[in-house]
Amino acid sequence: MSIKGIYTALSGAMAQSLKMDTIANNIANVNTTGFKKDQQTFKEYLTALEKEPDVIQVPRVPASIESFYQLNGGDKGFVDASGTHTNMEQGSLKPTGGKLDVAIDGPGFFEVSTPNGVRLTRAGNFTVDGQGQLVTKEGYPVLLEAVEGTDGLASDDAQGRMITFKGDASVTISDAGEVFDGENKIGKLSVVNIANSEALQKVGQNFFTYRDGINPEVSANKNPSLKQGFLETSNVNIINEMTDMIMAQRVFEGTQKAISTYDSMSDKLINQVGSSRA
Amino acid sequence: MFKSLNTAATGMIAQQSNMDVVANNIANVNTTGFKKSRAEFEDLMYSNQKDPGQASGLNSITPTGVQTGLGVRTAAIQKDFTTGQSAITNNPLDIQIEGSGFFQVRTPDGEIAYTRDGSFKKNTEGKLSDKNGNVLIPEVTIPPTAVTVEIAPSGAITCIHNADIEPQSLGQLEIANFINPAGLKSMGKNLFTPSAASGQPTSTRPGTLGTGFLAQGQLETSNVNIVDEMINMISAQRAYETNSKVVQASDQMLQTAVNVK
Repeated sequence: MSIKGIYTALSGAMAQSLKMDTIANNIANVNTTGFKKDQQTFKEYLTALEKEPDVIQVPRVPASIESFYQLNGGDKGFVDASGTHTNMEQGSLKPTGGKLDVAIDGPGFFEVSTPNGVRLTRAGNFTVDGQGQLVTKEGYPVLLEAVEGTDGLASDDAQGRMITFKGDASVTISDAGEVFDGENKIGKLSVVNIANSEALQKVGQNFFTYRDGINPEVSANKNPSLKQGFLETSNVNIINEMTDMIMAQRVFEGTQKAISTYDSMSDKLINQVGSSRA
Repeated sequence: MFKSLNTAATGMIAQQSNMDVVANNIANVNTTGFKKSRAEFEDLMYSNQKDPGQASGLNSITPTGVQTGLGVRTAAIQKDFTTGQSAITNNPLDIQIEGSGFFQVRTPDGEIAYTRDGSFKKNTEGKLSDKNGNVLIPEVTIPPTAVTVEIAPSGAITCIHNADIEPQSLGQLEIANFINPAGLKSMGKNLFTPSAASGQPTSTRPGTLGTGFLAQGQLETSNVNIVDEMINMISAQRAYETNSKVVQASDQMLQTAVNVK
């Protein structure tokens, strides 16, 4: 007998372990500003898919399903992690009263200039640094809306889009994203919409970046709905995560049972069926 | 599996520091001029198991990758410099800044520290100083013959002796302002010191350059809101418990795996 199926059970255990890692990360970030929860998706992986298709001969014996489909081990399906999807559902808004706390109500991301290039974030817990520049908690400048050049395209230059306050007047950020230092309008906060959210990848520190090879379909959000004095909370739902965690744990235990069943089957085969003693 | 154990541990550590901040806020609910803090979190780096954009066949690429996050960390503990409420004390040497700005005091090591606590006293030489004996800058000496002291909203300080003597000017109080007060470093005893993040102090007359006017005979209460802190405490405690459940579940999964053999 073949105990190849033990690897199928193992792939199930590994998948549940990956799911558990994701749930643990979601729960750890239950109080992280602007955090978006992750979900793993799985698919069946057939080893037959690795084979080249070949010509099927007309069967000369009464046809069965095997006549049309050469299995060659392809009947063993494995679980394969097919992708991590970030759930972009809106988190609830929490009032903080902070002048530099801004929540996005609806779609969109703030643009932040980091040493590795422009990154996107939903976390609007900004602050100012010693020079009066509007920055994130890591000290990366928050960007204003890109000015469209003469060719009609937005410029990529991040230098000219930083926000500096004089510090002697109170800061106001309007619902449409306009930034005022006292009575002077500095500009409009850049909020961009990503039509294809599959093109975003998390990089930690509440930042998202673009994935290679996928068109993110970026467009500037001309009429964002911002809320000064609010922060967007994490969209993790504890009840969902706990339920998923119970599921993951029990399925994991189930796959372990399958592995030990294969083990005891082999044990019987080797030590009882194959026993040379009468 | 081992990842989820560590990830849950980072969650527990983060909630613990959240709780520490809440505890300090609540402990200082009656501290004059105290400014509350708030813990801010961010997700850690992600581990990529499969990169998106790999070829999965002829002319096709995988649209999504597989990545798992590795937990959370405390990004910042942000101080909130909103003004507290006023408590009327009627003590002539209690001063509140009604708006932004800081009093400057000289600490024993000769450095200048900044405070919002305006409950000043006279030291043995008659100089205005805070509870710990740090002298207010610019120095103001109140003569022993003074009956009472008047402090104008713009900081001019005069003393009145007897009815037959003219009021005597004692000088001008100045307060300092920072471009980013949240970047100041707390050093305890209601004092702050500047850092690279706060920017350089600009000393000015009260009521100018965005600073507040002074109010005599009243003190600024702590800006801690008990209801907010209670809610934060509940949320921190429950998040901590949930993370500990993840540790338990991971542990049980590990136990199942170990018991297979």
